[in-house]
Amino acid sequence: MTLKFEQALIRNGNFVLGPIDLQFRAAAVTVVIGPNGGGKSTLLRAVAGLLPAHAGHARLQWEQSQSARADELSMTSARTLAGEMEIAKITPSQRARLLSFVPQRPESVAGFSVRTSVELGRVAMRADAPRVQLALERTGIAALADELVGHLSEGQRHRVAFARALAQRTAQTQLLIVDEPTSALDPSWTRALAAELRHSASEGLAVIVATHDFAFAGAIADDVVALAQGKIAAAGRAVDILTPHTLQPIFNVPFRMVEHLALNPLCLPMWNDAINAS
Amino acid sequence: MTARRQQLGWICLSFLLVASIACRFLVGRDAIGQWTFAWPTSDSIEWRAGALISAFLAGAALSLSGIFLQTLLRNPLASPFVLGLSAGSQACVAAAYWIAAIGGPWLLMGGAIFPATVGALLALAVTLYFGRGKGGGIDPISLVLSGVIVGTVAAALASLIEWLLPLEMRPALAGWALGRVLEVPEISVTVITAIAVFTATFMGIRNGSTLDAMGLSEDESSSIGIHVARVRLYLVLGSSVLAAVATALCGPLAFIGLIGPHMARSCVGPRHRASVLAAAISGSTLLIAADAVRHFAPASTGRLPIGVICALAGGPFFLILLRRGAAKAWMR
Repeated sequence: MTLKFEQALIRNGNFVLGPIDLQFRAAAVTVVIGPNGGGKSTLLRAVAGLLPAHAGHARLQWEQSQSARADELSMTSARTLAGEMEIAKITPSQRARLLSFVPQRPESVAGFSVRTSVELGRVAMRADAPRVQLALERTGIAALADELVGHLSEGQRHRVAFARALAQRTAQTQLLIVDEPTSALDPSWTRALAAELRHSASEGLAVIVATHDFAFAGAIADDVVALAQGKIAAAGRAVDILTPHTLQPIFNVPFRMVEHLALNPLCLPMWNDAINAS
Repeated sequence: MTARRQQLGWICLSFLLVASIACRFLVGRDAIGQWTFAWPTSDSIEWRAGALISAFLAGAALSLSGIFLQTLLRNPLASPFVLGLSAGSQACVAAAYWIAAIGGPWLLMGGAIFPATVGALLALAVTLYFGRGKGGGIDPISLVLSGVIVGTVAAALASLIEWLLPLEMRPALAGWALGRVLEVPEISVTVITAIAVFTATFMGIRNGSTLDAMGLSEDESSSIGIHVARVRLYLVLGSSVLAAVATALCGPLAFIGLIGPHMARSCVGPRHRASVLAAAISGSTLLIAADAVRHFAPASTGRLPIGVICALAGGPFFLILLRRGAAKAWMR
């Protein structure tokens, strides 16, 4: 499966993103970075099919399976199996099976219990209590299952939203989209979330994450898309994009590579020079 | 909400419903105007049954309208009266009377239901338009403010039209505008109200999980598979029709549509599979009880309009909700 943007122009109120050309890989984590107002959330909402492409295309494409190739001589079946779909035109119930989306500020009715709120992930599908339980455990909120959502902290509510996305997963799920997950999270849950996202990618999903956290980005990214002022400022493999040379002009902040013996090097912003200078 | 607590809630609600029905059925006034508490005479048994049926249906319709509006707008202060739907219905029904007075009574053939529905829809549309925040989202407090203003203007329009009516047509409309529970309800309006109430309850319970999911942000509910625009349209139409039939039957009644859903949720929890039915029961209970209370009030001439009791009892409840910051506590 690939998700392809071709000259796509996306409008979100007065903001215009694009035209952009992009391709998201399956079984990989794509991190979307960029200054505030650069278009990260707009891109993610377009990827989730919540905003249509005003011009151009934003399409999901499937590679033909073996059985489809065997049928290649028959025109009719070849046509129906040419898996390609404009993502904003997918019906809501199909969308629920195809992707999960965790927004930056999740909202839920304060009177719902955590378990009820997570169960809503399967509202368009067959109920699946074991999967809901698994989602609660993998997000570390199983002990809070009977608490009311209104009593939770912001970080805990974010975990509830992520658990809902996990509960929603089916065998057909192709995309996991997470908008700025780390802003309200403590380091231990940030680490657990990073592992969870890598795990989802290893299961074959295209994972797309927007973040301002460069340590987080460096730890999980296969590909990176940098957006600035509604345009793609840089896109490619993480090792090529997450470098001071590329990031400094985009963010207007000095970056430095931080080496570690056992881990990949990280490219981090060095904004504390401004404080020292003053 | 544990299962045990929910059971207790259902028992509590059923008890209150039975108690209010019993109360309304047994309370009356004797020939010299003293209130009595006795089995009704054969004459009044039909009247009391008629009043019970119209209060039961109108109360349920208002409360269902309230719970649908609260779900649609994710705002616990929403209700058909607060958002101006009831007054919108009132104004359009008054206008229909006026047109009928000029053009002949055949113009009012469909009864009050059709103009009431048009009025409720119009009022909701105007309230939503002006209650929107700048970002396109709906700010809970601006929405309520906008609804109150729409309601006030619509009620003033209704009074103006009433003034234009010929003198002999005024009393009927004026009595209705203060709220009334008829002992002999109009058959067609009653039947339509009953159909609306049962359809709404059935559909609400059947699609309970979908309504639950409307409590998430729009992006989240659409990505878990809810057709948000379609569900919203159903909720707008449903809540408007329910508010309209209740208004056509009993006049614009305040706060039943606000208290009913809250009473339901505090008894059986916030999930719609339970709370929709509970809201219908709560609304019926409240209106029947208000109708019973009306008979206790010392009244030298005629009886106290039921709208007065609803407003007196419901107003403080709204203020308590406002004070508790309910509008902000809804979304998390």
